[in-house]
Amino acid sequence: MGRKRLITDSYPVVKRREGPAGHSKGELAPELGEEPQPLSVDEAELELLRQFDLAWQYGPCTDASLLPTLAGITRLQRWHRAEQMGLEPPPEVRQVLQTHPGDPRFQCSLWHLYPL
Amino acid sequence: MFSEQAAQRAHTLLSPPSANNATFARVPVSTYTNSSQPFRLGERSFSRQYAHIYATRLLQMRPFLVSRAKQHWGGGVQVKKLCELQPGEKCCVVGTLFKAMPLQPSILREISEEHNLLPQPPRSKYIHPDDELVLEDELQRIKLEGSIDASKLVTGTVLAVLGSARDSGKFLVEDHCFAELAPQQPAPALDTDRFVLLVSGLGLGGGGGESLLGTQLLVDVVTGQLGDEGEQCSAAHVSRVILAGNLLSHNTQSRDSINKAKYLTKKTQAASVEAVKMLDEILLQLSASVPVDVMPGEFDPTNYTLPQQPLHPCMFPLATAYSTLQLVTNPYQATIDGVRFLGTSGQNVSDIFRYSSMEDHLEILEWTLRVRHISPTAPDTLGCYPFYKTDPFIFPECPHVYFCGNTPEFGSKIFRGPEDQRVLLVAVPDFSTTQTACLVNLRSLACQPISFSGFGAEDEDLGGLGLGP
Repeated sequence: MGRKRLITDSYPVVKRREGPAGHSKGELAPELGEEPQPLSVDEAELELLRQFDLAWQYGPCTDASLLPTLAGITRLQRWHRAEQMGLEPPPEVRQVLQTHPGDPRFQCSLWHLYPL
Repeated sequence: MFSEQAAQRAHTLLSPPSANNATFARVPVSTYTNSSQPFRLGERSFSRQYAHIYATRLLQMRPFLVSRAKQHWGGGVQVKKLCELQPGEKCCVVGTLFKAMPLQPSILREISEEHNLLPQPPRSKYIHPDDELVLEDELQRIKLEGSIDASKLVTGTVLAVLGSARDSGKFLVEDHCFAELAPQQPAPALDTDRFVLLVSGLGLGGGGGESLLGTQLLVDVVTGQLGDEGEQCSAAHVSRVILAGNLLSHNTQSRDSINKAKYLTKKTQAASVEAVKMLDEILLQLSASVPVDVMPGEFDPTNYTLPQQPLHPCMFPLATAYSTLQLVTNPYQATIDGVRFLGTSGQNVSDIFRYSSMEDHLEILEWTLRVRHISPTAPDTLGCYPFYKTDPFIFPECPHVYFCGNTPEFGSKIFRGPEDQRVLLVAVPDFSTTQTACLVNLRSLACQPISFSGFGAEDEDLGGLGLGP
């Protein structure tokens, strides 16, 4: 039998990372707005699309099936509908959607993997 | 009108046969455009939710309602969303109505085991004094109370209410308004009388033989094979026939094949097969002589959800040889000689009848025109395709003739809108029970019923077989 098992053994061990200036304990939390690492371009775009999904002004975005091509409403369809209604959706969203056609992470909404 | 024209000519029936035959050329249709494109469905996908159609309905109707509210209650009225409401402050809110009805058939209640309920028998009206109205907009919902008649309104109506929010969380309504009529293009001025015949509810395959005589009389009048030269001349002024739904009878929809065992029903044909053959022969006679538009109805072999798609031409092998036969969608919209027609086969009006206290079908028809939506109860209690881009049932502009088929009795009325719009409302009666059709005069926008009763075995008086009122 090893040492006594602590409840914290079930948590993954995370080594405390050294700050950029080499400080260890007692450093202040990173300031607001400053990311610890810059997000990759893909992830920034996905984040933009997720914010588009969550914006209630452009109408509902639920997508009720696992097959993105046959069902529900894709982000591009929602964008076009919002534009036709005169809601002025952000054009960057459309540009991002057009640069990644066919990729379900981009085209389908946030909830497309959940059967609704 | 129709019979007065007929009476002007000299009677020729009891005269000796003449050497030259009188021929009457039918009035040609100068312009016809079918504008039912919004009701055609291409590739259909039913895995969308209905939230989209409600959202687009509210978004599309909101600007109309805001401008009407400003007209009614002054330009200074504040239009707010539900999330911005302050208690006690008088303002106007635009939203979709939901009516919570305890008597509404609910499948969840029926299959819920804890209640152990038997399915409710169908009633003619599901209204109850305890019905409550709730107004919903994009984000929130609020209960309505006050001077608003809950029994008259139905779910799915988009309206603007003026009032204030109470501390109890309900909204006290002082006044409400609808989107009223859409703008209308002026009706063209025609120089001759042209008629469009509206018939609905032919009810073929119903088993009763009496209505077949009436149908045959109708076909004979329109094709000019009945009556004197005067009547034939008048019939030549009928430029189009619109069959507004329920061409087949309710009896053709028998569900025996589902309930009985397979070995009993294997060789039996569906009742609708025989009825469609009869319909094909009737359409052949009609379309050989006059352009016909056939709209499907509740009991016809097409899809159930609105908008119903046109019947398939393969069912009418004889009649489709003629290009004058047009198979069209259920809400049907067309411009005939410059006069805009819009109509349905009656499912929208009868659904509102079930969930509202309004009794007269013509009154309900007028109400849908004022609400600016052909069928507000779709998709709640009436089946509807899950649209997501636009709601095609909102009136983009006001028609000149607005009709609905399969009503229990004939009714027609001229309705005037706030911006001088003039609409002829026609409630086309069910032909299989009333033997009455409607003649719409395109020049004067007036409607006249025309009945084709034959003598039944019970009929004492020989007052039938008449033309005109």
